[in-house]
Amino acid sequence: MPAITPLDPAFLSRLETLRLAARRIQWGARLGGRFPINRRGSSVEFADYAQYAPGDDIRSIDWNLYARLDRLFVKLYKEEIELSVEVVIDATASMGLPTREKFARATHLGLCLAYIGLAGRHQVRLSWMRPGGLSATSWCTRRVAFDRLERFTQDVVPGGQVTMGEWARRAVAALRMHGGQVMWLSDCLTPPAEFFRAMHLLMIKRLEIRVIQVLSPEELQPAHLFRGGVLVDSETGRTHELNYHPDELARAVGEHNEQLDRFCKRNGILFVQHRLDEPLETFLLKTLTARGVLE
Amino acid sequence: MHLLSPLALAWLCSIPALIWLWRYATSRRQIRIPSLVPFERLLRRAPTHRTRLLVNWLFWLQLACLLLAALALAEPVLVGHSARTTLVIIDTSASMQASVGGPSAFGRAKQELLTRIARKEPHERMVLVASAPVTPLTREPLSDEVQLRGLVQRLSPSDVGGNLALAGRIGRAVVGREPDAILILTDEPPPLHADSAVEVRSFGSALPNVAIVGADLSDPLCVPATASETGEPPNGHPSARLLVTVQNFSDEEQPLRLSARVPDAQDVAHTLTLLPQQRETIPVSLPGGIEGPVTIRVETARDALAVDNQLIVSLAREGRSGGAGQQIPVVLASERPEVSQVIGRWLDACPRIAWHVMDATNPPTPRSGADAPADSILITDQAELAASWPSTSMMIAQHSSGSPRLTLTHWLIDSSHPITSYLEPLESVVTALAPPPQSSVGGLVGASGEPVLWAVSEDRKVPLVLASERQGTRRVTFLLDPTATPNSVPLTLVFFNSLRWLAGSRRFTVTGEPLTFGFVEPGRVRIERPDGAVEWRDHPGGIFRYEATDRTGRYRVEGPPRAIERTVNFVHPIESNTMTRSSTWSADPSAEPTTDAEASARYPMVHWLLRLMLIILVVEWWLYSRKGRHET
Repeated sequence: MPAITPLDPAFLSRLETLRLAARRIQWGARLGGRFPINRRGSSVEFADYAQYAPGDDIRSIDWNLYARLDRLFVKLYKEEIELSVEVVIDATASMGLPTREKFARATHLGLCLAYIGLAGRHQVRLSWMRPGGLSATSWCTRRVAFDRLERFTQDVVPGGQVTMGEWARRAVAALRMHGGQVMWLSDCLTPPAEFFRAMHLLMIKRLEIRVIQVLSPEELQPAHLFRGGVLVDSETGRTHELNYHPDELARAVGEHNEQLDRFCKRNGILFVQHRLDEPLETFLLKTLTARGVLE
Repeated sequence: MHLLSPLALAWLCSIPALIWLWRYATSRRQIRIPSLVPFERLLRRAPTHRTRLLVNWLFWLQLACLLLAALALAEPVLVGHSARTTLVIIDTSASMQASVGGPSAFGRAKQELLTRIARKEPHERMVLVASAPVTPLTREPLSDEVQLRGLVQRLSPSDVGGNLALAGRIGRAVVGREPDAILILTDEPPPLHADSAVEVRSFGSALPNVAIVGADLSDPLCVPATASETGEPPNGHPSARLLVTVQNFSDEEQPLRLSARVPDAQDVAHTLTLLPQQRETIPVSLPGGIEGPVTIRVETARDALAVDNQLIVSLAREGRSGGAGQQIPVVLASERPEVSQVIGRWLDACPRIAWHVMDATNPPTPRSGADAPADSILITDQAELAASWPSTSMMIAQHSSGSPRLTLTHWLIDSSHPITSYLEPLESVVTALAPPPQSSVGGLVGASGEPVLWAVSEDRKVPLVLASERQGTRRVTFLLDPTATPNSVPLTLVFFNSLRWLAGSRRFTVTGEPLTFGFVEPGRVRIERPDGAVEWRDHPGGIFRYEATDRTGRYRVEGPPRAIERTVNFVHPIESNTMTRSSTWSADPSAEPTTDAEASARYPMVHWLLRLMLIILVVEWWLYSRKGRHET
């Protein structure tokens, strides 16, 4: 298995224009950070004017405006917070199939999100969902720590089976996840019940969840992938002689993904699908921006 | 193309086998997929039988290979516009070997043909036919220059005579239609009337040659049947048994030495000088009791052809006059008793002749205890019987009872015929005999051959004896009436000397004639040829015949129960005559002009199909190995 190729510095520099989008301030986000949000706060970044009301701090009255309009307005400023960004990469056996590019793309995507987080001066951590002990990096807050994250990804190889709900239960406790954002990068080829259970556990911890499903085009059209024979589940080892019409196979995959998407929408979770035939840069700069993950 | 070719149809059965193998391999193949989770709902349903064959590129390549193989077995041909087809007839007769210190005509003809092949258009096709023996060298018109050059390089002249017209007919049969052009490479002069499509390249030139043109065994029949009844045999050679005829085929005098190598005896040699175009019969005196092969050689200063300078005659073989003590079987068949009576009285005078009468009304009457073998000499006055007799025969022309007697003087002998060596004692005879019934020989029923003895009667030339020899069988037509003057000495001399010529029938095999080796048991027979080649034949048992006698020399046959050797000689006056030749080519009157439908050419596609199949197999191997690398 080849190592994950390092990201191009020129490409990374283009990512610096992006920022992680936070929909709401959750409990656990620390105020006084460097991430301005559209909430009137005490930062130096101007946000808007408001009609003066008794009780407002008279230091915030804009006297120049009073001189021109003969009315009192107070200046409002944006609130700045510091986010905890947990990037979780699925490293189970299914991520290594049907091509090895799938896991590499998920890792690259996680590194890009981590870099965007570091560029936004958030604290970022990478963790991998795989069997055995929990593996995660320490929290990184400075951009210089990105090299360390990149080196850490070189040794991770997809393999084994782990139940998504069980891993989330252990991770929430062991990694002390609370508040902030979770970027969940997975193919989501897990039983829906386990997926729901994991999401619930994360929501209980007031985490803002973004699920990015990484799939190859062949997985969306399985008839091109399954050329007959006995199918072997890469994680469970279960076998089955698949003798169905290609349309039935594509419909089954679509229904599975739609079920997950419906659950995410119902619970305010961003669910974005990333196909391997879509360039990584396009996905970051356009798709994730349009879907509100980045801004 | 034979669409119903059994092999092709049988091969098509391999396609279902390929499909079954692919389905079997597909059902046994395990594919690791990321997860079966999305298909949980489908997994609960019972799997149905697959109705669609799942294949990849390798399957289609393998299927293409099988179809190409089936197509190749059907031997398809591409029918297109005809390329120019040239029928090449190369003369491989013995005369093509003739040379005096320079390249032979065959060598020059071969070089010319190689040059033509090198210059021909790529699509021009050629059919090569050798004229002696007539053999098509190509089974079909060929355009491949390499194959044509190889065929020409392996070609060599034979020791038999050739016939260009016959080669032309065989060549046309190979082409399947009238060829666009005919190229003849020969040493014969160009024919007088040749089609414009026929190109004759003649490489012959007048070369001096001396050849042995015949040999006879001349045993004395009986002492009284000689010239002067003094007991002295003809030509003054008391022990002469072999008459060798040599001829000088040149325009200059040729001194020659004729030698005979006799087994267990001293060699016999004669020296003489032949005038231009002279034919001479040389009696070779051999000691009595000789048995075995006698090798006769002719040596001259200037001689173009070597193959006709040697002759091997086997003495004391089985036969009617192989030895001096053996008897000559004669069958007499005549409707007229007076003829039988006169001839019988003559035959009784010779103790070596065992004769009997064969008549339809009277049963054969053996007079000397001998039966009538198939190779007996027939003496008859019935033309039909003489014509159907399988071996040597003498026909006595029938005369009407009222024929006038004429005085015949100045007997004339055709010196060019071998029989003249027997008739020479009759040069000047004056007698009164019954002349032939008609002066024109052609009008005589049953008469065949050329006149060899004439007489002058009332200032006109009257033929008396006709002689012919064809494929070793001699025939004499006796035009004189033996009953008219039964006691005439010249008449009996002519009769007995003609009988001697008939009895001295050739005792050797010439090239082109089949060899008979007697009884050979069933099995594999090994034949050693004079050119060193060895052939094997499956023989069902019985008399073994070998017909490919296109070389002079010894042929040895080994087969149970023994090994047998036979010698083949070259005696062919026409081939030996390198001075005056005539063309054997004649236009085929049955040849029809080529129609457009016939002009279409048929190009076999088997080679191309096999090449395409090979390419597909290589591509398949490359794809398979590439796939294997990716999987590892």
